Amino acid sequence: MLYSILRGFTGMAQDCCLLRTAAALLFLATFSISADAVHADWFPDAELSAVYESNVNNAVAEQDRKSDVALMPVVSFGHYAQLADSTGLAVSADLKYSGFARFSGLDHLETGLSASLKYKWGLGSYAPWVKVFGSGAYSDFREDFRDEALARTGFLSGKRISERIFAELGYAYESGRARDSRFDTRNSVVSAKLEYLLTESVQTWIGYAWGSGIYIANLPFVGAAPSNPRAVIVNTFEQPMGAFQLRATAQILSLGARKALTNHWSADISVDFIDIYGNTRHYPDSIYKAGVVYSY
Amino acid sequence: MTSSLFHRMVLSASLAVLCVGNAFAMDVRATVQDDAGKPVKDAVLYATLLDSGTPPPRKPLDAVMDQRDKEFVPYVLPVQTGTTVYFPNHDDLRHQVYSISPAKKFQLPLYKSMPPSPVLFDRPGVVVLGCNIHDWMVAYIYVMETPYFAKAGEDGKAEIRNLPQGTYEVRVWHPLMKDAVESTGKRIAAAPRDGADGDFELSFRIMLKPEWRPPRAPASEGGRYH
Repeated sequence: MLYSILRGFTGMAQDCCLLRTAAALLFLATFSISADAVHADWFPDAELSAVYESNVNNAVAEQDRKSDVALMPVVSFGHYAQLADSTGLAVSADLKYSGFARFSGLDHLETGLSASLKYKWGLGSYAPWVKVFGSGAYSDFREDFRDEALARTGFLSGKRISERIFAELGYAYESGRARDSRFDTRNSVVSAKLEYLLTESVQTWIGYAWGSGIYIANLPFVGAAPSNPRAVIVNTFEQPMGAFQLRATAQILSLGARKALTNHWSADISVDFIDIYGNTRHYPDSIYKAGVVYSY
Repeated sequence: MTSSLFHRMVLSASLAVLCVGNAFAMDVRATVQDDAGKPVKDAVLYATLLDSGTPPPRKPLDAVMDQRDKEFVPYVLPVQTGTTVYFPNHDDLRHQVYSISPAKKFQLPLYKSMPPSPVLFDRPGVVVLGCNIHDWMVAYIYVMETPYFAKAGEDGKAEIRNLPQGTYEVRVWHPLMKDAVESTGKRIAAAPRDGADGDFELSFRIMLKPEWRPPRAPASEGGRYH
């Protein structure tokens, strides 16, 4: 598995220098943590979410869209090291499972490594910060042709604006290299998020993201063949459909709320309204999520 | 370390009582509630001498502000001016304690266990403490000229013991109180009275505001401190 992750990582790094940066960050993180382990903070994180997605197959026409519910447990175990007063480094091993109620071909186990380097300008909770991150993972799907090596890199910066308002800006580049290259994806996303403390224990947020890249969409058959000659016939969605790569832009509006249950537990709910636009067509999707999160 | 500090504090307190050297002493007991009638934990009750009664003792004291499970303990630490405060770190990671409050600005660079030296608090006022790594960590050191103070427990009750003869203003302070501390002042005269023990029972009602700390509870994405 580790070999697969690294192979995917280094292979994709040839595509983009950002991914080389991510790989370098992972190695730097590993060695730095080892050198300064006495000052490192172990953090086990876990999350269990139930997700409803209205258009899991990314179809255009309403009658072709398939909805599904998934259960997603996530476990992370990592190390955080404060390298200097203003700089911290985190590395973690991540395990994520997605189990779908209807379309079990989409069930997958994602195994990966991630690292981030955080720098804070100044002293106090109002000081702005920036975090550079990188991750590599391998997704093992029930439908083998969907198996893919994933890489993600980018940065996130944030600032506490007032007692109750926090702002974040970010950029991420994501790449997925699938076993069947016709399922390869890649996209760049810029995002902005405002968080607002509704009460002392309830935090709400609104976010907007804009992305551009290659996504996977599905279309129905016209007669005996899919209407797009580049499409791959898949039987994932209870009826044969044609899956194809779509060069598109995506807009995502996110709303959410988090209730602190204890110092280490919280309950989250969120919704993402997604509009993918490509080839003069809209592929709308909504993702509703509810879950509990634990962090040491 | 903590045990040694405790003994030094007990010794200092004993010396303070001996210095009074006055047979008369009274206690002030107070109940502090919020506007809904609930007890206010961590409220600081203190008495300031207004006349030329027995001068309050001025002995250097030690106090401790601990760090456990990425929180300061206690949340509120009342001290007299001239007190040195130790900041032991009992977490298995490093903290970076700081204050940017006018009453005391300082920063303890990243450390585990015990910083090289304690911090002297020599000016009265509110000192807000934070950790630059864990933004949700907040605590308060309330520095007063007077040695006569006590902190309310879970039941909102506090008691100042062995107050020497004199006229005092008794006030209550809490980090989340909306009104100015001066508005809580009550004047009392500590003097021998026939047929009475001379003790005072006071009650205070203060309005509290919410505390807007950066959230500590975990986030599903991006919001973790690491």
